[in-house]
Amino acid sequence: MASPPDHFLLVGHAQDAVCQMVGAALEECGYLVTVTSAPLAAPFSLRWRITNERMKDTKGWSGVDFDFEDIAGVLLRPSAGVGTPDGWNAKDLAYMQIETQAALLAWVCDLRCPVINQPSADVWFRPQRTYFEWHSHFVRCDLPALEHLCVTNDIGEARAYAQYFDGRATYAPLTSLSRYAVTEPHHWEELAKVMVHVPVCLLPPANGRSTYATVIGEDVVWNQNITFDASPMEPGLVMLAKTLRLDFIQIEVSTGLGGVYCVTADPNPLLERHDAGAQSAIIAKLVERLQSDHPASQKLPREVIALINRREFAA
Amino acid sequence: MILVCGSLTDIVTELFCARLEKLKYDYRLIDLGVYPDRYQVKWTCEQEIRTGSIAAQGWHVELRDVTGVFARYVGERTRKCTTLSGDLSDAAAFELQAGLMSLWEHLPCPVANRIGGALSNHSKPYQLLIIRQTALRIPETLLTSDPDAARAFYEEHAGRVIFKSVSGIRSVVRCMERSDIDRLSHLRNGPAQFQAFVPGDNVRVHTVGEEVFATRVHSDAVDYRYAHQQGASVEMEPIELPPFVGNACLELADAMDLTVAGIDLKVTPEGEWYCFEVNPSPGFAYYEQHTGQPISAALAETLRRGPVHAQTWERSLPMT
Repeated sequence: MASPPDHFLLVGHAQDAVCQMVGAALEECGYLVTVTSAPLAAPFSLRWRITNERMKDTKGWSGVDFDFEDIAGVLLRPSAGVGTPDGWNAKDLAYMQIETQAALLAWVCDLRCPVINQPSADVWFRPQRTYFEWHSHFVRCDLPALEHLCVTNDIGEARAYAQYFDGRATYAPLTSLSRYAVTEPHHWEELAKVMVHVPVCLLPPANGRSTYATVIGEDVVWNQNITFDASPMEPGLVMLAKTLRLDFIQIEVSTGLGGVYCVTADPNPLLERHDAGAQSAIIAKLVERLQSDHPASQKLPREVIALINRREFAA
Repeated sequence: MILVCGSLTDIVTELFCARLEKLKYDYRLIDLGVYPDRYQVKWTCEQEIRTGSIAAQGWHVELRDVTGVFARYVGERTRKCTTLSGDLSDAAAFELQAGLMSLWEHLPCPVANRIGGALSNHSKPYQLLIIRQTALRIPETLLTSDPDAARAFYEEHAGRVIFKSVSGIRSVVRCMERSDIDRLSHLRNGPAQFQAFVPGDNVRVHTVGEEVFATRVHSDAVDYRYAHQQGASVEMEPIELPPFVGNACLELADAMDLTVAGIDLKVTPEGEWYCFEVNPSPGFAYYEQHTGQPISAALAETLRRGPVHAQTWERSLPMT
């Protein structure tokens, strides 16, 4: 009797474009696919025992018609978490979401099948970083980075900063992807009001539209209409993904007076930032990686790696 | 120069500032209750060079002169009301904290603690996966959304099972009772964490750099932090740890990039050492006041001494 086809678990919202397209591609290959944003709640069932020895753990987990042993690969998207049970109040639901997120992180970090992405706690709970943090990562990976950043709550300092750019700047809140041009007098008045409450992060004025590079393992996918030679950046982009221990990451790239530079990165890439050709290429690479037994997909938490490194260093 | 980022309404921050005063170490307080209103901040990044300063009435500190940072985020509730309301106020508090965390993340000096290393505590089972790589034991743990599995675990351990939050949300650890079994059906909405009860004394270990301070806690309460509320008593005494336990604690703190850590252990009557979790924002004041252990002084010295090795901004970047 033929064994049943491999089963892939896509953890994310059913409307997520990555889940939809990866799911369709896997099904086209003859695999079974389950898409859910809440794999640790009914109708799924988790029975995970953690013991002193990993080999003695039992990883009980079952879906509607399949078990843990059937999972061939997992795709983890940012909308993963808990469902929206009827009748719950907002406080209880928020608590349950936090609890489930915590459980899901540990669960995926202990999976041995390919997982995209298998994040560290730092990336899982803090996927968005400030421009300063991304800047450090880019520099360390020999990537061109945004050159002039400023955080201040002093309007005089902010105006002095803008003098480098003919009195213009971009206000970029640290906790959102929004950016606001600061060019007109009334923009400065508004910025001053914000600065009463929080220091603001200023970037140089935008010179052109951003484009995106998406790294999938060792591969980098760009939009077809990019106007610069992207190949010199690709080793650095792959190194960035490795440094963050991610298989799938998207980097915002822009052009300015000094040339091409990286602005931010997103550990939860969006297909919508790419043209159709690039989207197809990304999906093909993701499917290929999910099917592989690539060692990078069986990673230990970074803290465990640090423990091992410490012992090797001591020895 | 040491920077203290916190609120004096927090007993740990208050104790640490008092220690710095007593030791006559230079420090400046960034009081989160009034930040940024009474401060002028500026930090910049020009190509690869970062500079910056923080100033308040009567003082000005260049970031390059900072030898260490003590940071405790006690939430927006300590921030005085602004003219913002509701969601906007929350957003502003979030933005403020993100800016400071981001700054500390890359300062080339000891920081107690950087946020990147602290986040493992937001998932207790994630920490268990790390802890079991050391010489310490972990309690047998069940994470389940299956009421039958929880019931079976309870029976298997003869009712000696405790449950506690999976995440970093502070919860009272308590023993599961037979009456709780009726509530297990709620598990279908999401998993909970059950652990076999480990008998013995609690031992709280604080690591500061390469120093270890251990306190044995004698209490009848399951969660001794709430012993008085439960009508139980608490007695504490400083103890020496077996070397392998002390080393394991240092390994954990180092692996999690924690300059100061509070590590919860239990030693059984048979002499087995169990570890439950590593706290990146430990309330060491409580233990110091009960035992006289010089935890805050050790931390003050670590932060005054500055980086052990010459570091640049970029080299200080923690591994993610």
